[in-house]
Amino acid sequence: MIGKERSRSRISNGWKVLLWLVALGLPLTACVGAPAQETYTIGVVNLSPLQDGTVEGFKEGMTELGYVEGENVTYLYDGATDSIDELDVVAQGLVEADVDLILSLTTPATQAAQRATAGTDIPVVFVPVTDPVGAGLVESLKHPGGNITGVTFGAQEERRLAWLMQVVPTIEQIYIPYNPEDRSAVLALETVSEAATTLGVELITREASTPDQVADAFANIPERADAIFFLPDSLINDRVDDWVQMAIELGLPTSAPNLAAVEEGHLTTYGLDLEVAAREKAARLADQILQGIKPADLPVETGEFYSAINLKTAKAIGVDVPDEILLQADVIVR
Amino acid sequence: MRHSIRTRLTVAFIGLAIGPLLLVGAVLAWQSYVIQQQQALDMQHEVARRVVAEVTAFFEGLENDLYLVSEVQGLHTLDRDEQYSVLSGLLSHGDVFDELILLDAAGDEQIHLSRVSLPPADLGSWAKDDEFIIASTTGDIYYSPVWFDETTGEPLMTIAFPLFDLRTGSVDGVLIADARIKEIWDIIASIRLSQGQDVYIIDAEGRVVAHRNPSVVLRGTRFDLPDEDGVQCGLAGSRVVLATETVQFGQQEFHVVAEHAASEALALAISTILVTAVLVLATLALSSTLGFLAVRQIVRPIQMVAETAQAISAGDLSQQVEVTGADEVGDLASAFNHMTVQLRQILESQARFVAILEATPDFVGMADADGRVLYINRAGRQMVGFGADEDVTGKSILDLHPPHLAKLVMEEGLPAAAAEGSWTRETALVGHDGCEIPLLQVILAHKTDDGRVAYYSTIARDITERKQAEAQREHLLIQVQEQAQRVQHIVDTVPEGVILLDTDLRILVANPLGKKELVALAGAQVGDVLTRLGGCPIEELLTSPPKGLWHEVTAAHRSFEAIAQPIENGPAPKGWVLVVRDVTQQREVESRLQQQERLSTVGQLAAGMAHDFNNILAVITLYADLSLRASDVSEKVRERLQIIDGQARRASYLIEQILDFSRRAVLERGPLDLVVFVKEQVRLLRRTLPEDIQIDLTHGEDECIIYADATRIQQAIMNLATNARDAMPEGGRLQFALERVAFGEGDKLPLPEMTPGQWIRLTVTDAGTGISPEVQPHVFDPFFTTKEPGKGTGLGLAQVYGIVTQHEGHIDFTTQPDQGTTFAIYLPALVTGPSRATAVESEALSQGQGQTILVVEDDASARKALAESLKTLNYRVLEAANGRQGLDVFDQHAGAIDLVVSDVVMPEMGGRPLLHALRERDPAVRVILLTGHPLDEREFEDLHALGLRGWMLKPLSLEKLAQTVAEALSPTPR
Repeated sequence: MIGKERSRSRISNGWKVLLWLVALGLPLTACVGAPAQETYTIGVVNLSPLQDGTVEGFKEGMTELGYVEGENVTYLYDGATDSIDELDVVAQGLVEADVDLILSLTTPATQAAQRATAGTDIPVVFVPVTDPVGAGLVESLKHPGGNITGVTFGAQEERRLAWLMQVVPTIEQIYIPYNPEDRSAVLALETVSEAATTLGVELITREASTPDQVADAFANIPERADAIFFLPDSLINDRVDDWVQMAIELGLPTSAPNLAAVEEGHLTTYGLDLEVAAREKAARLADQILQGIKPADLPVETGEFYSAINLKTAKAIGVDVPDEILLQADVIVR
Repeated sequence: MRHSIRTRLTVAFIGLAIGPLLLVGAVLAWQSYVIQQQQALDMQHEVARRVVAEVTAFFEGLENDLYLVSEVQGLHTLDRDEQYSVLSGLLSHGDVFDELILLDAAGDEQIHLSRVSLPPADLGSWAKDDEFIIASTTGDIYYSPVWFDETTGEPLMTIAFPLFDLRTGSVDGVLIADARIKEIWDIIASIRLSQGQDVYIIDAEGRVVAHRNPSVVLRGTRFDLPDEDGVQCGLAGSRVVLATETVQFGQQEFHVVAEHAASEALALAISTILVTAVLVLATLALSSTLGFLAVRQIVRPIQMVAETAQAISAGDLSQQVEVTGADEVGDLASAFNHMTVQLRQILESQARFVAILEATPDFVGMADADGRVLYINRAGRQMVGFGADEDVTGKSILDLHPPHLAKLVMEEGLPAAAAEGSWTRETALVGHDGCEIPLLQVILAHKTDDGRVAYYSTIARDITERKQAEAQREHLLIQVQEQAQRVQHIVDTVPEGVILLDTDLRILVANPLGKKELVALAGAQVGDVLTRLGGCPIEELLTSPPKGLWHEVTAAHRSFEAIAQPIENGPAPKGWVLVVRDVTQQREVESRLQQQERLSTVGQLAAGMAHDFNNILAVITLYADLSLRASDVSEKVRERLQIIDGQARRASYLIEQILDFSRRAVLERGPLDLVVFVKEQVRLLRRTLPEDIQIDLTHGEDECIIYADATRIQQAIMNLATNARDAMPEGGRLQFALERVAFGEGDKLPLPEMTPGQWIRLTVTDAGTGISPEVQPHVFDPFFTTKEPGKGTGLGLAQVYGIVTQHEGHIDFTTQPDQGTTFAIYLPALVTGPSRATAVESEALSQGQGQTILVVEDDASARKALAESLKTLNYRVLEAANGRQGLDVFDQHAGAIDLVVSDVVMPEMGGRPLLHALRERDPAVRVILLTGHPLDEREFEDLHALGLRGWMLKPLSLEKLAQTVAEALSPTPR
């Protein structure tokens, strides 16, 4: 039962007593909480169609908390934008619509929401942002300080690369397409680069900041690449199906930044389960904000990493995963 | 109303019914609250214990994982790759460990695995860290304090698990595991909690390390554990029912706190209280209603009585209490209604009395015991100027009275009324115009049963008209009294006796003189019936007298006149007013007057004769003087001339005596001390009277000064002494007495013709034979003498009489046969110094300077003698026989005549007409008149104003003529 319903219940009981007391003419007083807002409007800013599942996870979490779409909550979401440039337009539209909260997915979307809500008190909950402090979205994870909070994920990229290497120890060269304009992707690449050096593998990076460039990157996967490593990059990851299909065709193992991508067909991941993060964390943060707690007082939470292996993909590309590796996997897609 | 029956019944009802009900309700509610609070607390303890169990299981699971890899799989017996593989599997299992580090027996890292990063390139040492030291030395599992990841903020605990050598049993390694106690969050979140319920874990430092809401932990929330469980301030700052359970892992102690919002946890208790309260209140309401109805049932009739009483007190006496039953209240209502009727009758009666009071013209007022006015009727308000609707209450009665009467009323009136019940006095009010309104005021004191004065009332009547009438009556009475006093005074002072007789001739009233004369005439007094008066029957007196108005009545040698007038106030007289007057003295006065008139007539006759004789003697004397002064006169002729002159002078002395008697003597008056003077005369008489006559003089200390001619007084004394001597041929005592006597107004005077004043009385008393009654009326007659012929002229006492009378004095005498006679002379006293000696000194004759003097004298001899005398005195003389001729001569010698000497009595024109005529011709003319008798003072003053410079009394002496003419011609004549 959500807070508003709890308040209504108290009021109801209180009024019953009050009615009795008033009926008896006794001057009793009762404290009755201020009536909560009955309906809410939540806007969503999303850059990647892959994050639609995250949106659904958020809605599920909100539903569990009592925010039932169509009843007491309305989501303003027309789907992921086609480009980063549209993010500002969408975010500004939500501000003009005077939404009660904006759910932003990915770092560019959150930055657009930050710009749009500047000067307003519209809260923003993001999920995920790789480095919200570095991206200038919050002052610190413990004390965000502004109107923005949300869910981040730590620097698990080293472990994700190591996990890929554990699954396919023969990998020597790894292809990494990324959008240099996506700060999450750039930060992740820096970590991955250091880990690659430690692990002794070569990285073949390919910048793609436009769909065409992505398509070009997709079409020109180096032949010497032994695997493809996908960074948290919406522009790149939007074509997850194509990448999975291409990787399978090319027999290349892949590592995706989140669990959903493994379920889509990527071979491995050690990353967030965005739906879970959205359902369990982002929705809870949004609930607290809608109940009156300021985002500045809600620390940024870190999402849980899950190690996963898609055995179907492994089989498709001819990778035999040892049992001791499977034992270490949190999720096995069979 | 605090002590009203309703209140008291209500209080009793509350005390007996509501109070216990509320008390029982409160006890039940409180007990229920306490029990349910304890139940809520127990529930929280249960939750906390459940969490403790879950957490304990969690940590036991961690220990079990570590135990499995170390003991079961023999971690320290495996080679490095196997160790790495086992630890990697453990690290990825459940994601509960963030890092796993395998230490050897020296504390050096052998393997270092991280959940999020690659193993470090350089392995470290834990040899100096507690984790290694404690685990390796004690062989026990070590739990570090909770620490938080700097990046994610998640809480972590480091667990050091000792690894034992199977052969030696000693610790030859330690497995370090950073446990993510974040997992506990999920454990707590998985516990189903009620609405408002919360549970969390705090470490020994009060830091919240586990909460179902990660934000609470991530923001570093701290909570100070309260000292005891119960209703406390919870993590969110609100009141909660809070219970704690403690759990310890290794050296670390954690507190599991389960709290439930008091409003929720105690909702049932509160609801119970409220329900109890509602029930109590409902019961209270019901019982109150019933109580109210019961009280109303009881009180309502009483209240109706009270309301009716209030209505009555407000003036509505038509109110009647409804008699609701035959109970006590009904009896009370009936009695009250009866009382109301009586009260209405009383008030109606009171209203009538008030109407009477309001209509009465008297001042009616009432005041309290302190003198504050409570009521003043309309007449009173009008008197003192209060309006009909003006509030007079609170005014002091002091304000109503003038200050002096206010003090009287306050200090005497009110105390007297309080003591005696009432006080009556004439007072006054201050009227509306500020003037005093005289009152006859009655003050009544109305007392309470205990004797205290409750009110004062007053009735005051405006007695202005009465006072005015009294004043008028008093004024009239005074006038009447004054009139009566005047009448009484008149009656008392009238010289008649006034006697009032009734119809029975009984004496009703008599004035003092009347009483005195009644005694003298009838021996009667007031109250007696008067039968006669003197020798006259009273009936005769009541008739008209035979002649005149008065009846003559005599008694005891006294003469009375009487007359009776009837008091007529109707057809018959009511009485008689009898007037009696003693006319004895009047008769005597009349006799004296007759004597004086006779003496006056004789005096006038004698004076006329004396004038002629004086003219004759003047010629004889002047010629005799001239002849004697002539040098060619023989001695024989001179002797004859001297005889002529001597006889002439003797005759002149007789004439002088006659003139003294006729009061025509010329007086040269001046202040004269009779004491000194009489002493001298007595001394002189002692030498001249026979020695067998003893002469005494008595006098007092008072001055006895008169204004008199000493010569004439001496003459009078000598005459009296001579008479006394003659009355005492055998000698005797001759007494002179002098005294100053004063007679005031009303004093009895010695002689009726005297007037009040200061008098010098000279009495000359002899011890002679006395004067017979037959002689007494003629004592002062001239030429009347009882002496032998040649022994007396009969002019002695007549001369004395004349001298005394001419000095404005009076003379009387008393005599007793053979005992002597006393002559009393009264002369007016003069308050001046003593007289100087009046010695006549002879002077040389004043000679003229050849001035021209016109002599006017009808007697040729006298004119001739006068002319020759003047010529002798070196004057030029012109002569005229009367006034007419005198005017002609004066006109002929106009401006040359220095003095005119004229006789007064002349044919054709006398001396006075001549003086007027001369004055008209020459205002500066100087005239001397010759007269046979002295001019009185007023006559001289009149003539002096016409130019008269002097007058001479015939016969003239040459010295007198020379002196008078010289003075008239002097530059500053008299």
